[in-house]
Amino acid sequence: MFPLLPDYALSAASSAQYALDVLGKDKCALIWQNDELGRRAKFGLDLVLSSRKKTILTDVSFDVATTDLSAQIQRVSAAGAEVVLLFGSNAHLASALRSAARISWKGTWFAPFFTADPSTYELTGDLLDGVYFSSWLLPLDADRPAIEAYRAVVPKYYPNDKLGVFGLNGWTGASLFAVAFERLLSSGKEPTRENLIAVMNTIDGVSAGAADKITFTAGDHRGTRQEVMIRAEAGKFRLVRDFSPYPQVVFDAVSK
Amino acid sequence: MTDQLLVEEIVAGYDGKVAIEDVTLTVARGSLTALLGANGAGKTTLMKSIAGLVVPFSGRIRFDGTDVTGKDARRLVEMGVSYVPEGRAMARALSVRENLVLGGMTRSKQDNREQIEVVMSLFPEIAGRQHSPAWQLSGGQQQMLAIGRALMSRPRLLLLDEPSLGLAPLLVKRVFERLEELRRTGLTILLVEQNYWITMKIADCAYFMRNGRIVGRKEAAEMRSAGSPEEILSAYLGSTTQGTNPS
Amino acid sequence: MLPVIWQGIVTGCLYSLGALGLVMIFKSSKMVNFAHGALAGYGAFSVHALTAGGAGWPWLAAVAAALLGAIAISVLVYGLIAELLQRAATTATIATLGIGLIAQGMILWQYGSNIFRLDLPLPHLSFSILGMALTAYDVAVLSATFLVVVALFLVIERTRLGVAFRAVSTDPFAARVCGLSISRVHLFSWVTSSMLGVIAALLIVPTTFLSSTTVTTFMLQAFAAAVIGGFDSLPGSAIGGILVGVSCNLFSFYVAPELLNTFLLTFMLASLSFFPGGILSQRLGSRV
Repeated sequence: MFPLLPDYALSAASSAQYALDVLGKDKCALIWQNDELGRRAKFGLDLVLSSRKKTILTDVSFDVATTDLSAQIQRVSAAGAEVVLLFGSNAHLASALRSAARISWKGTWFAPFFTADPSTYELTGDLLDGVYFSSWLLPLDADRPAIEAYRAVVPKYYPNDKLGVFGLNGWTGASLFAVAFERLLSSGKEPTRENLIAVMNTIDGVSAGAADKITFTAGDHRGTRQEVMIRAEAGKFRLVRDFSPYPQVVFDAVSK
Repeated sequence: MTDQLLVEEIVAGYDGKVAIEDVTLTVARGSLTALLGANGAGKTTLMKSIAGLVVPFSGRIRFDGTDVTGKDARRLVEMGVSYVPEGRAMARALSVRENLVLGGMTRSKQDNREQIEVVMSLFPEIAGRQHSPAWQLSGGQQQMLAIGRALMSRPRLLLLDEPSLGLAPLLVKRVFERLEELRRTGLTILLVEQNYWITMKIADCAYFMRNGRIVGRKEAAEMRSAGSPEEILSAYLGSTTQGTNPS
Repeated sequence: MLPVIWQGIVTGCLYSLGALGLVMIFKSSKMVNFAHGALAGYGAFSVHALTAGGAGWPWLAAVAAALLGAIAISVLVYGLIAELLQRAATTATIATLGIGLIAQGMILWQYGSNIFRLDLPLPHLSFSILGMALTAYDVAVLSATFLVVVALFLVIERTRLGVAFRAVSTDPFAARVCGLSISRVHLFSWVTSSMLGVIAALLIVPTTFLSSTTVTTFMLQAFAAAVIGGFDSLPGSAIGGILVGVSCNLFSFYVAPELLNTFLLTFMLASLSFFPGGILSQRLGSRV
């Protein structure tokens, strides 16, 4: 297995690091979906904050079937949070933003990469403006040729498919495979499973699709090593900080 | 023909079990016909068959010359047959006035308003309690309300099922006085009773029912002159316990 | 604590509206309509399809069309189950589970499994009273609930139809004897309930968003409100809804939001043991 999708512990840690170092805010709260997604986020956030002698201000979970997050918002608001990391689906993010608007809570939001998607804007409207996404993929609107190609190809061959982060995710995985397969063919070796795995384990600092510096070695399959910071602004997803490595303490803690 | 109601060889019951068999009777227009019998004789089943609440297995029911066998209760109310069930079947949570409106549901609002006045003048006992819920009324008042409600649809035939049930003798007497009054207005009444003595006084004729069958018919004059009522009772009903003289 | 209670009241109003729809049907026909949520959701989807989702109709026109559609569907559904209902209310109740699945299938077939936004046409307003934020949405929910409850009250307490409805719900035999058409009264309650459902759904989805399951899920909580209200009492279910809204919000805030469903079930069980006839049964105890 050569996974690209990073552990959510890493994204949560990157988000917290950005809040602390760039935004200068340290009252971080977490609203998490009580399954693997949320638990990993909590793990990463705990780890990065304690490495810096800080703690989570408050954390509150929700069930995946929950549709109303107003109680959770009341809690983080009452705790005095400045920054809220929300790890759940885009519907949960939308519901949380709604609830926050209803009680006029204003703070900084961080959400997972897959919510940096036009479909989220369809749900939230302009409430999404100002939300940050720590993402291993460049934003959908970026002008990198590989992403332009994605935006051009999908409407041509799949006119019913919407452009989105999930598509870009698949596009990136396929792009990486193409890179590896070309390497294999140009090396002149037989295109066998073993040979392909060997080539994959030499992938080092490769850019593919919307991701950068993908690296695999024989003993380390943490392919993704860095993330960008995206901010939702006026209906678009804008890159506000280029790729930056994951906080070391969390990167060391996730399984290879 | 002056028969308002003609019941011919009715067989009826519940869940496939026969409760009344080959019942034939006639009710003359403007008459007060009584149906006497002990508990379980099938009187209520017969009444429900006429009122459209039970569909007979066989036989025929004609009202004003029209075949109404198996027609539903709503249709019969519209045609002019009103039923006052045993136990009075109040809509308990509804007020007195609302119960009357319920009785007049097949007619217009305007008609209801007029008819309520008629009912109130006939039963002054309930006129002052129009807005009380029905369950707060005494037994006698409830019986009057039940009759009043049945009158709301302006019936031509009133089916009354044991109006004396559970009432003190004085109240029974009062209720029966009203029945006589109603009868004087030209209303045809079929009255089911167990109370022989008081029924005798107002009925034009009486049918006797036993074990689901009609076992006899007598004109009122015949009954009054027939000597000992106990003889009649034991002959037709097989019991004398039903007849206690209230006066 | 005040804002928590306040938010609970607003959510509670929505539960009340949902519960009223369930209770309307239960009162007249003594059966539970488990398709209520899915049918209401279908109505909300129609509004979405007619407005932002495509046709671009004005909101009010879309709502009117959805209400008419809901009425037609409720007549159809009642027509389907009327015969079952004559045999046994339980049979009819189980049949509604199937109808709910069909409605959900229709939603998935026509609109897919995506999540949609369907807002009320309201301005972005918010003001603050006693430290509580009050938005245009909150005001809309409260006033819509108030209007619906008043309208329902007037129809049921002041009209002939209401008299018929109450008679059928408490003393069906009396109603039959008076020549009432029971199925017409049933139809009235089904039609009213379907309209209540669509109104509730339109008010719910601005917070929960619209998917094939959101309204159904929401109606489960409305079901709890109806149970707590005694299931055959309209005022009981209205109060039950607010009670459920406030207590759930307090529980989420002070205890643990992830245990909310457990809390709700416990609340239902407790209320069934202490007030088997519903929270208002003590006060109206003399009503046999």
